[in-house]
Amino acid sequence: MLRTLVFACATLGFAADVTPQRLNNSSREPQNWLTYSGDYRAWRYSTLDQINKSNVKKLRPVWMHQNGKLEGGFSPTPLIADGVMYFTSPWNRVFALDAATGKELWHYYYPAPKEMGLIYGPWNRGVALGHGLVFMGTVDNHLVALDAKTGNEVWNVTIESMKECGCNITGAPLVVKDKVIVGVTGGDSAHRGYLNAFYAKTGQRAWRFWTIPGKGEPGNETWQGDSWKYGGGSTWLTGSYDPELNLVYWGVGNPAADFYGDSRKGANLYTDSVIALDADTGKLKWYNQLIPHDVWDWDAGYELVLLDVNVDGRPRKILISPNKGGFTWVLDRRNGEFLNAWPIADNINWISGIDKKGNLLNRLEPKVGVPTIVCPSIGGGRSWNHGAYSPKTGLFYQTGIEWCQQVTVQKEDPRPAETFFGGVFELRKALKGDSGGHFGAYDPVTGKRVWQYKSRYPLLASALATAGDLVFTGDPEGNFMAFDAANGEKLWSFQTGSGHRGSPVTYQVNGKQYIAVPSGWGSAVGGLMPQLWPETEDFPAGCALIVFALD
Amino acid sequence: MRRILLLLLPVAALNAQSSLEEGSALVKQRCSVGYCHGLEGRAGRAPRLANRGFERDYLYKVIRDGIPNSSMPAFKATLTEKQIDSVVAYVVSLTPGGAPVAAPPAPLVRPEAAAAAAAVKTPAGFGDPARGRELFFNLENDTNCGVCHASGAAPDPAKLKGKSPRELLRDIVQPSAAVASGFPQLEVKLNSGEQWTGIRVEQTAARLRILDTSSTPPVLRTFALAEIAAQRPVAGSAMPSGDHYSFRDLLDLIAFLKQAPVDPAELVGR
Repeated sequence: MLRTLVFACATLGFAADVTPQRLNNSSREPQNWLTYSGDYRAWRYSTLDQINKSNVKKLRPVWMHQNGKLEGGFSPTPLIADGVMYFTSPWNRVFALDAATGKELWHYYYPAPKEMGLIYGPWNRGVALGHGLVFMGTVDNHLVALDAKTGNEVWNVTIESMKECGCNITGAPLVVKDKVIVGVTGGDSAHRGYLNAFYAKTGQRAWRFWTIPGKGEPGNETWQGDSWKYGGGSTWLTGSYDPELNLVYWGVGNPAADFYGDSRKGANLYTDSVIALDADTGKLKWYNQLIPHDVWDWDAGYELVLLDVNVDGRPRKILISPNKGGFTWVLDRRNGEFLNAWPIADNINWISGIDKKGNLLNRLEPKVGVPTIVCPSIGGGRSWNHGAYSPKTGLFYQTGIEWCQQVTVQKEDPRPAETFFGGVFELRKALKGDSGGHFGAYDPVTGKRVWQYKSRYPLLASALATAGDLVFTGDPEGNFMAFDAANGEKLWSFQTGSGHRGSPVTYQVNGKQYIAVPSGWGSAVGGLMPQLWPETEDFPAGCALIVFALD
Repeated sequence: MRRILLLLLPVAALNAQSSLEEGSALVKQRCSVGYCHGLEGRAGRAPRLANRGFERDYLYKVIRDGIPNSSMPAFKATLTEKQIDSVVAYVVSLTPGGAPVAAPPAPLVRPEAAAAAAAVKTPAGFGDPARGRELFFNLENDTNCGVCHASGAAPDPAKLKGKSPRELLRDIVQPSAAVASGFPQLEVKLNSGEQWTGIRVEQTAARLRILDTSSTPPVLRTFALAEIAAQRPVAGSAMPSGDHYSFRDLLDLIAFLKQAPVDPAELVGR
C-alpha cells in the first residue's frame, strides 16, 4: 500500500517546480504546456510529432470531463505541468486533473458573487502556474493564488471593487520571474485601465501601469478635458515576455466610449497600443499606438507573437499584433518601430489602407445620429481566439471573419461603473463576398496567404500548431478539425457536441501524446451571431474538456 | 360623465405612448448596448426579448432585481419605478398582442424609499458627498478606503452612516482611538518562520484568514491551522491614519458617509 502511494506521488509532479527558468524555456518541455500561450513568445506550437499528418485519422477521444458551468462559453487554455492539467470554467471553478486519465485531483470553486450584472465574463481563459501556486483572475476583479498541490486558497487580492468599476478579469494571468501580471476588462465601461504585477509568493503589489496617463503625465494631453478618467484602455488578454530584453509586451484595448469620440478628442494614448514594459519595474520602455483616436472598438489587445525572422533581408526581432479591425501589425520588438501591416479579412472599410509609415488612410468616422455601415463588425475581422506560429512552415495560422455592421453613434456621458459604448450596432452581411469565417496560413511579415479554409460561420476557437505538420482548431457547430499545416487539407474532424470558443493544447504523459480541447458554445461574439445566422440562437451550450490520443 | 371619460381616454393613451417612448429610449441606451440585448428585442448575447410573451410582473421583477449568477444586472438603484414601468411597457409591446393597458400598473411600494424621502432634511452645511465618494473609492489614492470598507474586512459605508460626524472625523484621523469591535488584528507566526499581521476575517476548524493591510491593495491570507506556530492579538486598528487629508477632504468624506452635507457645529463638542 505504502509503495503504491509513493509511486503515485513520484509520477505526479505538482507545479511546485514550475520555476521562472522552466517558464523561460518552456518550449524545451513539449510534454508540458506551462503557460497560457504555450510559451512566452505566444507561438502555441509544440515540437511533439507522435501525432502527425500520416496518423491523425486515428485520433479518438480517450477521456472527458464536464464542469457543469454552461453560461458564457468554455474558453480556457488548459495548462499541463508534469502530468497534471489545470483549467478554469465559467464562474471561476478551477480543476486539477490527472492529465493521462482525467481523474480529478482537486477542485476549487471561487465564491463568485451572486449578483454580477457585468457585460464582461463570466467566462475565464485560464490560470497561470509558478512558485508552487496556481493563479486565477475572477469575475469580480480579484486575483487568487491557490496551492498547486491541494487547491487551497493561499492569498486573495481585491484589485478594485467590481461594483465601483464595472470591470473584472477574464484573461489568464502571466507569471514572469517573481511576479504574476494580470490585466483587466472595462474597455466598454467608464473606467481607467491598468496592468498590475503582484509578487507571486506574497500577493503584495509590485507595480501598476496605468494604460491611460494621469494629470501631468506624458500622454495625458492626448485626452480632451477629463475624458482620461473614463478612457477604457483595458488589458483583458494575456501578454508576452522576452527574457533577453526583459520586456513584458501587452496589447491595450479601445478607448471608451467605443463609438462616441467627440468628448475625448485627441490620440487617446495608450489605447489601441502595443506597450513594452520593463518586467521588473513596470516602467514604459516603448509604445506604438496602432490606431489613434479609435471610434470603432478595435482593441489592440490580442496576442503578441514574438519572432526572430528576416525582414527585408536582415534578421530582426519582431512581434506581430493581430488587431480586431482586421489588420495584423508587424513591429520591431526592441523599439516598437512600424514594419508592416497586412489585412486578414476582405471586408474592411473603416480605413482604405495603411501606408509605409503606419499611418491610417481615409478613416471612415461615423457621425452622431447617422447610421453607417462599418466593416468588419464589432465582433472583429478576427475575434480574440488566438493564432499559432509554426517555425517548421514559417507560417502564422489565424482565423478571420467577413461581416459588417450598421452603427449609429450616440452622444453619451460616462456613468462610473456602467457601460459606455456611445452608440448602438447591429450586424450586417459582408459587402464583399459571403459572410462567414475562414482559417488560413499567412507569412507573418508580408501577410501573403498560403492557404485558406472557408467556414460557414465565424471561427471562434484558437489554433494549435505542431511539428507533426498539423494545425488544429474548432468551429461553432462543434467540429474539432486537424489540417495539414503546409497545404490546408482537412485531414481529420470530430464532432464534439458543442461549439468551440477556447484553445486546444497538446502534451505528453508517459510517452503518449494527447490533444486537449474545451468544447462549449457561448460568449459575447457567439451571442451576436444570430443577428446574421438565426439558427445559431439554438446552438447548444456545453462544458466538456475532451482529450484525444491515437488508437 | 361620458364626456369626462372621453376626455380621459386620449390622456391615458398619451400616457401609454410617452411611456413606450421613454421605455424605448431607455432600452436603447441601457439594454441594447454592446454585448447585451439586441436592438428592438432581437437576440444578442443576452436573450431575445421580442415575441417571447413575457408577463409584466416577471419583467418588472427581473429588471428591478436582476438574475443571480448571470450577467443580468439589477436596475433598482439606477432606474426609478416609473422608468422600470416604461421599460416593461416597451418590452411587452415587442410581442404582438402584448400592447400595454392604458394605465400602467401600480408600482411596487418600496417602504425604505418612502421613509428615506421623509427623513431627508433640507441640506444646509458643508462637504460634497459626490467628491467624498470619489475620495472613498479612489483607486489612485493608496489609502483607498473601499478596499477594506467594501470588502467585509471593515465596517461597510452603510454601517458607518449611523455614526456621528464627530465620531467619523475622529476615526478617520485617529483610527486606533476606538477600534470597531469585531475587527481585531492578529499577529500570526508560521512554522516556516514567516510572520504576518492582519485583521482577523475568519477562523474555522481548518483555517485562519487575515486581511494584511501592510501593503496596498491589502492581501487576504489563508493559513491551514497546521501551518501556524503561534498567534496573538495585536492592539490598535489596522486602519491607516487619514491625517494626510485636507480639511476639505475630510468634510467631503464625512458628507459621503452621512449621505448629506455636514453641519460644522456637529464636528465640535459632544
